[in-house]
Amino acid sequence: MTFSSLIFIIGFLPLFLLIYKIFPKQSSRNTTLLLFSILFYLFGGLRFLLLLVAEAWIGWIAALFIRKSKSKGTARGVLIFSVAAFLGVLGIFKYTGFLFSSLDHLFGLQLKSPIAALPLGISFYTFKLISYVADVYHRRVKAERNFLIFLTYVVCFHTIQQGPIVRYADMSDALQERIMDRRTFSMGMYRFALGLAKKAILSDPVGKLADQLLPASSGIASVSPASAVLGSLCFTLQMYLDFSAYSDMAIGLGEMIGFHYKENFDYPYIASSVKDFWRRWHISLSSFFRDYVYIPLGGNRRGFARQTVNLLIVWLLTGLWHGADWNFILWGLYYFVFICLENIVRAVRRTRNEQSTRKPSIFSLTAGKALRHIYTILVFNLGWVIFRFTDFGQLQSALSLLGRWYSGWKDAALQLTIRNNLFLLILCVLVSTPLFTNCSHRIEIWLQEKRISKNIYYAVRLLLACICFVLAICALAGATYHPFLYNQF
Amino acid sequence: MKKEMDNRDTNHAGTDQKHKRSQRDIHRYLKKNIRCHRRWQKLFCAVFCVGFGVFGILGLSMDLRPKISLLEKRTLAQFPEISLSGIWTGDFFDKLSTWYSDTYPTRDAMLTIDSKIEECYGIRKTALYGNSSQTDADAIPDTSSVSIAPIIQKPDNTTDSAVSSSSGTASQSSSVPTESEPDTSSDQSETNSSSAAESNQSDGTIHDVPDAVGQVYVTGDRGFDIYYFTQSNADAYASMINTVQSRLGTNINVYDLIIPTGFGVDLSEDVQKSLGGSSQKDAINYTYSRIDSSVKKVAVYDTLVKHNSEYLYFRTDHHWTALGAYYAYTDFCKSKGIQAHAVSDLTEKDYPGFIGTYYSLSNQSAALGNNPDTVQTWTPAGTNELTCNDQNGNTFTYPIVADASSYSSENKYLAFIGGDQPYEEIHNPAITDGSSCVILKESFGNCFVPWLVDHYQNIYVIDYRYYSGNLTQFVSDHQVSDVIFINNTEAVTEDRASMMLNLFP
Repeated sequence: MTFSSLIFIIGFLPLFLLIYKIFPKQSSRNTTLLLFSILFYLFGGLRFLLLLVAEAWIGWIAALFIRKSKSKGTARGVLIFSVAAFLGVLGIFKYTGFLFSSLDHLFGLQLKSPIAALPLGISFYTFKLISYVADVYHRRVKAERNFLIFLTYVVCFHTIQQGPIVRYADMSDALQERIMDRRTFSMGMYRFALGLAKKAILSDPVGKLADQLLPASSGIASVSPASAVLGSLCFTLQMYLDFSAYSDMAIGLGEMIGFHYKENFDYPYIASSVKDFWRRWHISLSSFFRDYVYIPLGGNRRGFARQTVNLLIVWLLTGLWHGADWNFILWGLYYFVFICLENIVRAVRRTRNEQSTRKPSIFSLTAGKALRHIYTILVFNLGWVIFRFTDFGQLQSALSLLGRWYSGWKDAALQLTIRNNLFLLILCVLVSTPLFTNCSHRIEIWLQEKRISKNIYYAVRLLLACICFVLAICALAGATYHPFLYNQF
Repeated sequence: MKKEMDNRDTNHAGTDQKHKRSQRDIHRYLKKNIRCHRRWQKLFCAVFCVGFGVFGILGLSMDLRPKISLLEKRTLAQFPEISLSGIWTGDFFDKLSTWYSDTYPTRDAMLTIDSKIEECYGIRKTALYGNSSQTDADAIPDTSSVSIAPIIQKPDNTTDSAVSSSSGTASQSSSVPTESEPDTSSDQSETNSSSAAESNQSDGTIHDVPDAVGQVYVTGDRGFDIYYFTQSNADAYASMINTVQSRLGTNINVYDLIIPTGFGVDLSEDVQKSLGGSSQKDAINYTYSRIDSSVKKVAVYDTLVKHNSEYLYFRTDHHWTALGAYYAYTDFCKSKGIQAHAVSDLTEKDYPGFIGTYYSLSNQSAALGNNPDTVQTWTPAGTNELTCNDQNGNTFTYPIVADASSYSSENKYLAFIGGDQPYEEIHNPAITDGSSCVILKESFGNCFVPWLVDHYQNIYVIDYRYYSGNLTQFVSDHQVSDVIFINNTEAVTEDRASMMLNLFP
């Protein structure tokens, strides 16, 4: 089951909310959540549900062991063992095929991977489990005594499929006690409806455009450079809209029943540097790597050389996490290079600023800012192109097309395609910026300052949520099944 | 000094009072705000509860779930079988999810709303629907330096024919991939439902080989299908015609008609070129130039262009009209050396409200939906009855030009010769000179056949996509003098050529 399917939106979800409302006791609410989450995950296959429960059990037992153990040595041993188990399972399911095909390329070994399917959300829940045992080890969080409550944390249907990677500390309080009332429901549902519309009405069509203009297949050889450029922009938009829509829906679902998950996206496309971009994109993942890989390795406190090595490890892992293929590793390295470059530039600037006394002019400041944004946009756009093509031949064709970006714009069919999708593209770009959020916030403050009743404001919000919902359902009924892009994680 | 201090005191008292008043105002406003917010939250919850209730209950009602989609012309997914392995792997649940959305009640209405949403994505007065990455057209070679296409030798035939479906009764799923033109292949193949009687036809079954449509270009109130020339297709077709003539012998007259589509006739040359399409005039000329002189090639392009202000092509469908077929018929008569009848010699009957294939392919473009076509038909004088063998082997009679007033809007083109049937015979009692012809056609030929009825005693209509048999033998057995090939430019492909060649062993 995926959020953007009719069976979830008008089958599973209403039923869940109904049962949830009927049994208002805290313990029965947790049971309802657990049972429905299990049902949700069951849709991915019973075999993977059992795997998940087994891994959750390992994590729960390991945490209790770590908590109870007297010596640091045993605790550390249990930690390493459990993390190894989790990563081992992830490695087997996700990377066996990659390993075999690479060996085949290098040594000609004709090995066939026995793994045919990927468990739903394995990359996400593996990291959830790792973060939990690590947090228990570092005494950041208390080990959960109740297995069922812990299982609820692991399998919770809000975040199981595509994140955000929620830390146990962010859910434990709400698991014990939370409120569901009209306020939480309406706010959560509003968020969910808007996320759903973002996916169905904006992300899916722009994705179709991307497939048309920058096909991830042998067809890439016959498109014009202009089509490739436009296609890369469409794909860039699709990546953000698709993934952030999922996070919106997850956070909205949680909010509906009283969970407060941390934001996973902060308008990454308005970032002013690559470092800033990664502070805004998939925040739960980058903070995972920061807290559980980068900082334990020493971060930037062990000198410049060690910092570079740490960064390299983190970026290789980031790339590898996103996909089991060489282009993803290349993608991770690509960002590693830019992060290092930016670190160097920043260090150089700092020393230069300390030495110089001249104040920069407003003009140079704004021009500099604009250039920085353009630079960042070019970097992440190209990054997504690398991300898109697992076949290196196709990637090469795509990159050579982008190199000739100025040609092919006069083609009548391309211009017609742009005209036919003009409003869609504009809306996608605007939704990727905080424009609408800021405007709505400003309007609210203005109404408050002028002491005007907010009736219209709330009415518009209700209307917007309803329209988004209905239109999204119609769009989903019309489109062929469009699973989320990050679904293979 | 004291006065000033007094003043300051009263001022402070005044500002204090103002302060208290504004604080009270703020307090009142905030309280009102909270009440207002609560009211709207209540309404929000109520609306969504009702909405979920309605949608949820609708989803549970098994009776209301449709089995076929009229809009998409297909049978919808069925409820999956519950199996242990399906639950183990999750396969069952995938199918369940698909079934749930596929057969959701009111889905067709949702699709219509979805189309309207998509119309808002941009300025769609002139729009292109379909895969725009398929813009590869071969250059059309200069006809002055071109040779006659080679005749295919018999021993090679058996290997050639193995490629495409040799059986006339092609099943819909297997033949779809081989039938799509390589140069205009796209996922959207149009479904031209084609059974004889309306009652036999269930809209779900797509049993004919769809004519693949590449990109649909909509401008104003019309749709066009962009034409791309592929040299190998033209060469294969020319080769096939030459081979058939050589196998039939010189005493059989072979006529070849290649019909341009509306894209080539109704759109100006610069628009065609700007969309990356090829010139159909040049393509037809090239193909004809590669056909042997013993074959009678009927050039219809110029006549159609001369009359292109008339209703020669449908706006919402990729076919031509019976009037367009009439002008081709006049060219055929010129080529054969007979006198063509006037349009008024036949009985006209019009059937308005035809919305054809371009409509669903263009995502139900309102420009097309709001401007339906009229199927103008002319019934031959001599007879209006044909005998046909359908795909299931049944034989029955049917009108040559049927009454399509009760046909659904997307099926009105079936008024002509009962749609696409493998084999049909027409015997005109008013003619007794024994003249016979065999017409090898695809769906474009349907509205051409009625014009020939008053010229031959016997007409044998073969839809080469569905027919299987030995036409060389047939031609000699039935003393047929004319073999007429009629194809539209999109049907001039290697696959189709192969199909036609298989019928002349």
